[in-house]
Amino acid sequence: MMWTAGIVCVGVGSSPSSVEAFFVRFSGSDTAAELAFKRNLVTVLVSAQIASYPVEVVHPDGGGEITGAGFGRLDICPVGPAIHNDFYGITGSGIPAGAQLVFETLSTTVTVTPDLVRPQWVFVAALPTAVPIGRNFVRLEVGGWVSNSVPVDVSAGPATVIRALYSGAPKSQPYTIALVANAGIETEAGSLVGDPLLTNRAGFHDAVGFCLRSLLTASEDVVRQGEWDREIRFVAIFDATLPSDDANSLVHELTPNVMETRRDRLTTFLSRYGERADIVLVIHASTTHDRASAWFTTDAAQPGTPYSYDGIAHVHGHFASTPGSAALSVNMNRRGLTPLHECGHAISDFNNGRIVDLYVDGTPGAFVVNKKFRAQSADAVPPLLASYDGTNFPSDQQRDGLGYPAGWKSYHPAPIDATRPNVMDNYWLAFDDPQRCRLDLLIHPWVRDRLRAKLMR
Amino acid sequence: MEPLHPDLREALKQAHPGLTDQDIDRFEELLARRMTYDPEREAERIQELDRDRAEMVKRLMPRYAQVAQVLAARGAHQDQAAPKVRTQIKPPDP
Repeated sequence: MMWTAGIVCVGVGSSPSSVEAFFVRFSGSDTAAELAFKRNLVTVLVSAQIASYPVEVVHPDGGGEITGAGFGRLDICPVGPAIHNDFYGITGSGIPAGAQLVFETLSTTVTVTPDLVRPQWVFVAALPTAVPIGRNFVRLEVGGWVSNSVPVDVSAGPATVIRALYSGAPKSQPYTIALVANAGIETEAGSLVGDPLLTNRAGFHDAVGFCLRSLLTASEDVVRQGEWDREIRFVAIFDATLPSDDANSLVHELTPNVMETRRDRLTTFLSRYGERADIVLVIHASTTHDRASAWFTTDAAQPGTPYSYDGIAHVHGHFASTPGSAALSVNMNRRGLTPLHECGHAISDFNNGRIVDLYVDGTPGAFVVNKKFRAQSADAVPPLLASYDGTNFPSDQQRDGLGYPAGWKSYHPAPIDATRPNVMDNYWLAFDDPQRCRLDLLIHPWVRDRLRAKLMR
Repeated sequence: MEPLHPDLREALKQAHPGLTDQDIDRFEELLARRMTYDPEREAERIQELDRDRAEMVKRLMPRYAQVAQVLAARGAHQDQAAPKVRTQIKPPDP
């Protein structure tokens, strides 16, 4: 680009040998509106040059004066800044499985295998330090498929405190799952102590990557089916400056080794970062209380989408007054399905239907969607579990591959995969790989309907 | 709540001679039931269950926390899918 008197000259072309010259002319007779428009044209051109973005200019046939300008179309979009050891993501559409990120400079090519690949999103839990600092061009590729190359400026730090990993639906309150690094722990004795997680940022990133894979790539497709996850906002918070005071202590120890969230602290905590979530996954680093637990959501009273269960009217609330939540150890066993299992609880609701653990018998009580009880343990399991929105759903006669223990009165919905434990049962007992466990024929559509009600709000 | 890992169940029984699967199942029942009560509306029920659980641990599984920690420390919770990086230095232009 070059300025001369009242003219801005621009060379546009895909290579030095194909450059064409165009110009924007400022005139004393321009109206205020024309001047503003021309200034904006030049701003677009300068911005494109600085960022190395492709640019398109509009001009009359046979004339070089620019009458319109815009950024060229790119088929991928980086999410947020590229910072060593911070989260990194690229969005697009139709991204094939197995896609890798290729960072290129004049002297180096660095290929990074991401932690997660979805058709709309590629996610890296920690951007490797092997990616050179400074201007890179990044693209996605796998096999013969290659995306556009996009300029990115890579820096060494500092890593961000709050980061939208994926922005979800473009609306004011998209359905949001927050992954939060815990700052303080309320002990069994009631005192508050610091959570060592705040000195283990790498561990937090790793755990976030595992949570996302558990939710979006395990055999159970309840969240990702139909690519509904493109509507979900994922956000991570790691604030190493937080004191372990009452407001920042988001988990509580339960004897002997369980951690629960302090669910009533979550909404206020998130609001300090300008966030509001439907589900909060609190990652902690306790070495003594590492067994995960979850609390159901408490839906806001209004609005909601009605449904019926055994002929009784209920609603899927569109918003949460208290988000569903889970406390997850940074060291959780990566062979398991713990994040997905806990989210199964957390997405359900105290008043509008609870999804409970199937690995214990339990007792009748509040409204539970995925469990019923016989009068006597010797009674046959009824053929039907429930009627949901007018459709009958069968019972699990066998309790998937595990079998109902003698003495149990409870029974469950028929499974999707009868050979492996239900995701809400003891998935550790899967004969091969817990990651291959599925939900059941009732909970899958029930959760999908509940999720849809919230996604469409 | 995260289901009990079968290795922990076995380790608990080894550490507590006389402890039965039924004892552990009863404890698991209490834990799971606790998490179905609304902390804002049913705090007393939760406290009651917590007292029952604490009593069970003290009476039947006093080394529960210790056993769980040993097992957790033994487990290698390494991420299976850490990003893999391949760096290629381009040759200088001739």
